[in-house]
Amino acid sequence: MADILRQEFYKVWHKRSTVYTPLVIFVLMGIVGAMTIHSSDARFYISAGFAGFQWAMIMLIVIAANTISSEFEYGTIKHLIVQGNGRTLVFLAKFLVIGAYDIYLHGLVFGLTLILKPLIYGRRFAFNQNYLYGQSLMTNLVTETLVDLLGSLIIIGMIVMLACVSKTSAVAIATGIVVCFVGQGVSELLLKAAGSLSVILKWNPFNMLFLSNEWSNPSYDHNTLLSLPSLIWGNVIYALVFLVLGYEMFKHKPI
Amino acid sequence: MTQILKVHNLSKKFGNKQVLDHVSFTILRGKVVGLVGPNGAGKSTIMKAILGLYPSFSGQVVFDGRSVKAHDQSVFRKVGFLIEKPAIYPFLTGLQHFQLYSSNKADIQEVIDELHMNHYINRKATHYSLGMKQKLGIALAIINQPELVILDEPMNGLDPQSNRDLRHLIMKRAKKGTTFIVSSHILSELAKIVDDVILINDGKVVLATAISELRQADNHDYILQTRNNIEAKEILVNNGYQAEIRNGQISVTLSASQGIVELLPFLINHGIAITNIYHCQTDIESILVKMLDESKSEVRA
Repeated sequence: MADILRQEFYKVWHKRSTVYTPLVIFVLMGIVGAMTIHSSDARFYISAGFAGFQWAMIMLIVIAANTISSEFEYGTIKHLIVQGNGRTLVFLAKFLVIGAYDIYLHGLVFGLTLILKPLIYGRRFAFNQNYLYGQSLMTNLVTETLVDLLGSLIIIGMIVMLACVSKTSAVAIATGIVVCFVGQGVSELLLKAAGSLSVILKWNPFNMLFLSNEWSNPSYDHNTLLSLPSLIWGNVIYALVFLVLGYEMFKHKPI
Repeated sequence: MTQILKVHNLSKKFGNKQVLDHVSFTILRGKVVGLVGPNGAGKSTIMKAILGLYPSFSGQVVFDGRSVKAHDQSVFRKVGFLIEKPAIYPFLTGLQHFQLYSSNKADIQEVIDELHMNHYINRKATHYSLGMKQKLGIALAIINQPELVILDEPMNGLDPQSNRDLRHLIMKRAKKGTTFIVSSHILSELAKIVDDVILINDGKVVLATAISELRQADNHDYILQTRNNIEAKEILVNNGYQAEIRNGQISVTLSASQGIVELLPFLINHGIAITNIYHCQTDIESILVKMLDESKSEVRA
């Protein structure tokens, strides 16, 4: 396991995208920050990492899908499997690397927020200043980072599953990005049209994408019809279901 | 010589198509074995099945005394291979590929030198030509001193010099005890290096034998030149020899019970003056193509 993990991290480390990702996220977060320099709700943008978590999620979708699909495209999956690893270990290693990259990206957005805040707002909006729920701006930012990290699990599970079922990474990437940006809207429409069926449909996977919103704003439970703990468990269970399905597909994917 | 690989009754279906049909053969340690057959015969499928790359197959593959199971590749730690196309990450350099799979610097440098890859080893693989990629694929198959190396069409895209380097490398490693299974369409190149040959057609083993036996089996054609070819041919045919005049010479094919040692005095005793005689050595490529044609005819019949 240690050997294949070393190989996986070696590959990620040597990808050009690994070098450019922090720069791209930094620039995009900087643009959002610059656009909100005179905003009355600047503290919201700080606690939301200048929308960096959204950019990070797009990067993560691309990287996760490529990490799996590219092995089949390049024909390198044969080497990974035959080197004494077997499909189960390869799948596990891939998931761990994607998970580690997810943590890295969230840490990166957190760190870049700490750098960008003084660059954009100067001494205004100190991190120890009170913001929501009687907590400091820093506590809000930390909480947002952790909740977004938890919410990203379901996306990772879905992308891994799609990458295992499709021949190229394009399908997984396109679907992942669409789900990320349209998923919440789809869930809202479903629940509005569901009527009495909403008791069942509130458990649809798209509804789980509201985790971060409901954490920041508990009144969201009127939209999701689910409590915060239900959303947390829903995210974890859906992520596990997607991963198990992805693993089964990976095990039988032709080489 | 000990056995390193045993394939017994290996069968594989893709949908309703039977691509491997009870394939059985044994490979001895240190041998270079040629896996030969037309396109779609099942060569790559055999190689992939040996490595347990299919989720399921029927039959038995035993490598180094251990049975190979689908989903369990732990027996293959000492196997290197190149199947279908070189397994290369375009964003890594050649050297980074080696570093990915091996930490033995001396071994890495030896392989780089053997295949003359020094001048492009630090370039990203995406900029490699077909031949360079092929060489990198071969190099990755032989890194880490494997006991068995499986090479599927390794000569693809290689220039003559690289082909020669590859031949030398295979023969050098085989002498040290590495076993090779090599498939190739370029039978003339393959014939220069293999000890044994396994002929595959329609997913079945048509022939599995030593190359020396193959040469021996097709060792009965002679060309004669005499002072009187017409009379000599008549004498030979009348006495049970298979002979014909071709391009002003007599072509004789001896049966298993006939020998050239008896034929020459026989003609001389009949007053035929022999001016020239030489042995027709049929190349292995022709022998294999002939055998393949015969097997196809049998299938059709």
